[in-house]
Amino acid sequence: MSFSKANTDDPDGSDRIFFNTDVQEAGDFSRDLSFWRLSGSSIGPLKLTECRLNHWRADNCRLQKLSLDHCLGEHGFYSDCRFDSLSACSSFLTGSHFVNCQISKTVSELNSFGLCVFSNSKLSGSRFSEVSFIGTVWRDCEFRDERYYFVRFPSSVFINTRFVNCSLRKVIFRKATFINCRFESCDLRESVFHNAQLTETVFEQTDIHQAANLDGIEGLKL
Amino acid sequence: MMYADMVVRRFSVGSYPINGYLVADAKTRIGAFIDPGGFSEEIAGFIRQRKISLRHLFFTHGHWDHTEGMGEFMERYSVQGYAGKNEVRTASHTLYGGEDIELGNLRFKALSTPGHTPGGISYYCGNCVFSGDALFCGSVGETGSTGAARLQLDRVRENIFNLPDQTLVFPAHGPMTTVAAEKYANPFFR
Repeated sequence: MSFSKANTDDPDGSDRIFFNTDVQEAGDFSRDLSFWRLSGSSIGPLKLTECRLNHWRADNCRLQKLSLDHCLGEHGFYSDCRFDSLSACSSFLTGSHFVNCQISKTVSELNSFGLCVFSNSKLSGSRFSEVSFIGTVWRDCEFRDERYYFVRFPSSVFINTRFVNCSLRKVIFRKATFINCRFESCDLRESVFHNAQLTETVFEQTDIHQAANLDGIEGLKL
Repeated sequence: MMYADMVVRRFSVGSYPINGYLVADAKTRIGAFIDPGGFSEEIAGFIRQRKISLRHLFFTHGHWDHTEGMGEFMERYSVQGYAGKNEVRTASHTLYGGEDIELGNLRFKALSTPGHTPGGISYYCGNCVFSGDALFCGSVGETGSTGAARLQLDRVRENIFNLPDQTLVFPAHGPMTTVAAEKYANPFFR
């Protein structure tokens, strides 16, 4: 099924249901697209500027080349979704849940994912600069080939989570909690682990002493 | 970004880039620029394209990286400056916290957030607060003494953390955040 212009003709684009649908638009500007329900659908390429997409619920969807600039996308719930080449700049995706999601080749700058929960999800090939993940929870997740600069994870909780071949330069893990996590072949230059708590967490081919601040770290075993 | 009736746009401004924010009433198009640390053609283009009538400059404090573009704004637009006491000499309005500033149909409230500087001010309107260097995502601005640091934490708690949890926070450095995220997860307040 092909999605037509139907959604953009209506000034209020919110509260829509898409089932096994392809949603493709050249772009949209300053519209409220909140409360979309998506299942088995393919979204994008779609460039959204100054739009609201709060409270999206997506299951088994592919979101490809979704571009968000100055958008509000809070409190979403995404399960079994695949995000390819997401671009997010100066936008809020706070308080959202990502379950069984694959998120690859994301480019994000000055974006907020604060208070999000990620469960059994994989991030790969992304480039993040000055992105906020404050107070996030990560359970059974994997970060692979990620390139981060000054990304913030203060007070975040990581459980059974792996970082593989990631550049985590100047990344802030202040007061973060790691339980049964692994860092493998990661670059931790200038990172901050101030008051972080580690339980059964392993650094393999990763030099934790590259970090700029390890003051107050607990549970570090070398 | 459109929040109800307000336009908000972030710009990286200045030679030591900070976040400067252009805010405007979506209906009347009357606008202000918060922390004019620099000026650019991108800003001028946005103002032209959106037909914004820029009337005010809001300073969160007087450090040079927040004021460097003030001259160019004043040359191009007929604007009045608002700042805390002794922060910006050329500001025509002195704020102490608690004042209301009308911007078209919008009403901004000045919040006293000293510490980083003695006369630090944050600006609150609708669902947004512009915190300058008083509050960052997961951090706070530097202060010169233990007393100033304590004052800053106290005033952020009193004047920003008592805003609704869903309030969006726009700091002058780093990513945007929310009151809930900072209240519950900023290590400097835990």
